Amino acid sequence: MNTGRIDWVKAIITIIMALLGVVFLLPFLWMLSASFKPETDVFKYPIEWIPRTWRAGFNYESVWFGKANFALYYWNSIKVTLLTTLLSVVVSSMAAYGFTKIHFRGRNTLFAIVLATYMIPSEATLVPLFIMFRSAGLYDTHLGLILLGGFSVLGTFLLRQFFASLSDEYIESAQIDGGGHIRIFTSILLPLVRPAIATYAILRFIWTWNDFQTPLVFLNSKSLFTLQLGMNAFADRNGAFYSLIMAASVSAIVPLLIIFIVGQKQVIDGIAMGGVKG
Amino acid sequence: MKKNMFMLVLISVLLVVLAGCGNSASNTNNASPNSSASSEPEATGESPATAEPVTIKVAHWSPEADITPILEAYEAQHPNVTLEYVELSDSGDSVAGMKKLDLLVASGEDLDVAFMPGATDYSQRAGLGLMTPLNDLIAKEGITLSDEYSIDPTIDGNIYALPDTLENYFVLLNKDKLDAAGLAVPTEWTWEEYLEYAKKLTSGSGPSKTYGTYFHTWAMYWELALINQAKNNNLVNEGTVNIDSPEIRQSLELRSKAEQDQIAVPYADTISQKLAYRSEYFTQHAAMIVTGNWMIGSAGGSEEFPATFTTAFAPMPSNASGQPSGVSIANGNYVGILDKTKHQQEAYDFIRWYSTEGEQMQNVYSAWKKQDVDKFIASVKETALSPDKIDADSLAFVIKNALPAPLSVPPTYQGELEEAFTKETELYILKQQDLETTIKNAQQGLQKIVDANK
Amino acid sequence: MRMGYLFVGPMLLGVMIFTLIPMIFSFTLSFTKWSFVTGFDKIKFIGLDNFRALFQDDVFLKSLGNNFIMLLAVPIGMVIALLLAVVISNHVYAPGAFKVIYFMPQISSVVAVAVVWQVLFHPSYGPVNGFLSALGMDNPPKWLADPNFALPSVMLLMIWIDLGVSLIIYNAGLKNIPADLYEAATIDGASKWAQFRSITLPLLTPTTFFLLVTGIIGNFKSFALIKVLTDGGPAHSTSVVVYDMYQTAFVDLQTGYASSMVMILFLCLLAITALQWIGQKFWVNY
Repeated sequence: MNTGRIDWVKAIITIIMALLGVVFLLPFLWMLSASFKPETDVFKYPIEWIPRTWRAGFNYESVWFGKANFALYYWNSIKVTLLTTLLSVVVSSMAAYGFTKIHFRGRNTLFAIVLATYMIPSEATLVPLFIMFRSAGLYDTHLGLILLGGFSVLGTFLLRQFFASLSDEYIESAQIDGGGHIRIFTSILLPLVRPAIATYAILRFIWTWNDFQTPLVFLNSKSLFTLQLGMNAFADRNGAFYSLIMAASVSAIVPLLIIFIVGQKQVIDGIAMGGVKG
Repeated sequence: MKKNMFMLVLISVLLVVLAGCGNSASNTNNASPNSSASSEPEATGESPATAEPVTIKVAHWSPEADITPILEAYEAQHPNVTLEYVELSDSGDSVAGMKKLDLLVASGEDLDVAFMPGATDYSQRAGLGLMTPLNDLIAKEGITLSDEYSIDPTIDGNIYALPDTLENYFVLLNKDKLDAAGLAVPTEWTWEEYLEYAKKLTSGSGPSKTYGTYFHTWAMYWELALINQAKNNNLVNEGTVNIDSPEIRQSLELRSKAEQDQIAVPYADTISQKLAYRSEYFTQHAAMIVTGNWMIGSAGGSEEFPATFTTAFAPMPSNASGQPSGVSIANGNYVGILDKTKHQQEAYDFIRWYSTEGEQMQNVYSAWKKQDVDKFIASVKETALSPDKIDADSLAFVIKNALPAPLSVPPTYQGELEEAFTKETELYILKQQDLETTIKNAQQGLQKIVDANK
Repeated sequence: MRMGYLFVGPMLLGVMIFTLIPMIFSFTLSFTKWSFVTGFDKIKFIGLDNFRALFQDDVFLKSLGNNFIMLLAVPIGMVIALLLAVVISNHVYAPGAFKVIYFMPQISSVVAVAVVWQVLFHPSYGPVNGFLSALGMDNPPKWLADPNFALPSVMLLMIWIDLGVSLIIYNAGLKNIPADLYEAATIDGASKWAQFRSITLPLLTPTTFFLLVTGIIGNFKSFALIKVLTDGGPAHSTSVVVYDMYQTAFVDLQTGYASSMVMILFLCLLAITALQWIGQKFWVNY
């Protein structure tokens, strides 16, 4: 009786949340629908959610086997995004540990400076960065892109908050056992903040994958183009062809969905609970 | 705290030194191939003996594939010249292209020739001292510019670029709708008649309504009765703000009337939906648009916007009967030589060739007076997807009777002027302020910008 | 001691090269009249002239004001995100699916997001206005095309897009709360609400603090969405400082003046963040 009633409430909430969720799905549904249509139907009003004229074959074929080397762009994106995410997670988690669990002179001042740099919009540092990158030979390289995305204040700050909520007892007891900071960091504390690290890694992956501005400014050779930049090929001086761009975007979204779903399920939800003291 | 301040100063000094090094380093790097090339004794071979080999870097926002054949043709005629193409945008986006150009120039890239997509971009960069004056080179060649080109690119007595393509304005009409409403293709008309046409071409209701016309968000659509004037046709002419004028009043009133009568696509829809003029016209949401030469080819349909109806062409309307139709400001691409170039003469020879003969290899309407217009129309039709959808008679009439007004090159701060003007006109069309307030505020706002830039 | 520098070293180095140096460069430029395309030899120092001009620049003042109004979106978005996070993690079936769904606007193409929003709020035929007219409203707002409603519309959209991010970060925060605390509280007979107030909320404060600080900074720096959705219009009603700065720097090519805008933006953020930092000791539990 009791369990039955609770299930019923839960079911109602689920339905309400699902209805609300539809609004959040609309952009994706629009992308799907636009990617199946001829260009002239894309902006027809009211929206034809189910295309009246289908042109999915043409659109997807133009994207994958047309004038743009889409497969290469895909590979470039995977490479740049994975390496950026990896670099960023390593650098940020190390810094977060350093800023919370090790006492050293100037720690708070240094963190304040790091946080202050986050207050500068990237548009404002574009010109000096461009000049620096050209003279350092980082312009038009994947290394340059990875370095630009690899030092994230946001990631450092997020992980710092999670490290800060872990008790110092862990460190003290480990130090009594003779463990150094490197061992404490890698084998004791890192596993404890795994949900936060996984969350940050997912976000960094998605943001890097979807970034258009940075590659636009810092890449030049077509052979280095990432997906977002490569999609530009479906626009010309006459304007953008949204049916093709959306077919490309739908193709580009697949890895993100996989990363997000797998990441949520395996890494965040799958973590064992208990034993962590707040 | 003091230590931090010291660090800051130290870093700043470091930065300046770094920037200086990087700059000079890249300069010498860039200069070396050229200087070594010129110091090398020229091998006496089959190439014209006196000319030393030079490399000229040419920047344009067009895809490489479009430009390369023209550059190769020039190289074939001039064996000592190597043209290196710098593609500023891979999608033909001139706005992104200009940003890339500026960044490249800022970081010391040694470009020689740059294209600019319009008078605003041209005057801005000329004003910043980026382009080299061509007066001496032109005098040396001994040509009179006005004999050669239908656009005069002079700024304060100096010529910083040659006109490349020619853009002027006219009206595209959906001839099928015109026929259905029993209207003839106009060859001579006023804005008043334009609105009458728009009224008669409006049909239906709801989302599938066909409006008589569509005005895009660009500043030119707020000054329609000004850009069809032969003289003083800019917002600011020689330092005098031109807002409180009969032309601007007429421009705004005609927009307001079209909006009130619901014969133009509502401005609220235009901005909130970010409407595109191409799709408005080709999906028959609007039956007429004021537009320019770049749309001639599109009228024959493209892969993405197939022509499902015939397009006719009409000249730019005049402000009152008795005045000539077909007058409009002439704009277009410009091509200039960068101030830092080491090959002024060679670069000049190239842009002269490009802006005249070279351009005939492309299907564009050129500012060169010797272009064969009939050949141009024929080739437009040849390359169109559905040539029969272009009404050739009215097209020929419009092109041959166009009166491109000598462009008064806009001030270097034209972009700011247009932004300030559009801000006020938006409030007017959205019924947030009346005509007089709009004129008064815009006049003052623009005056402020002019004063600040004195 | 030295270990500390080793751990934070890579981050510091990266931040210094890729942000701090360009930032100081930009600050120096705020005292100059210079266009970045012309080369360093044409830099002209003009003292505080740029700042004097800024405070008479209507567009800039309007943009700065808009930035402060837009800050409202941050706490509202956080409250919704927290509620949804709690509901999703405990009170629905298939919580994983909901996390994906609410995260979709972040993954979807910006163009698609903007288009769907534009269509929903279409001034003449949109479903939102259709609904309002059905309720008897004669003149429903024109939303993005109405100078008075454009900014709230943009804020609404921001909340909607960023909800997914705050949601999964709160979710990570919830996962970090040990389950035995709730078990103990249930045994003690604490109601769900009491548990939420005395366990969930306090233990989430580090996450909340993070979201508040970064949310305000991010909100203040917003640019891409405005560029795609409204271009600052109509009549500058949705213009923000970074948008104004971008136009000034890359369209009007006035690097010096644009840098002075960045300086003001930075000082505002520095002040707001410093206040929050001092304030955190009253409410954040580590």
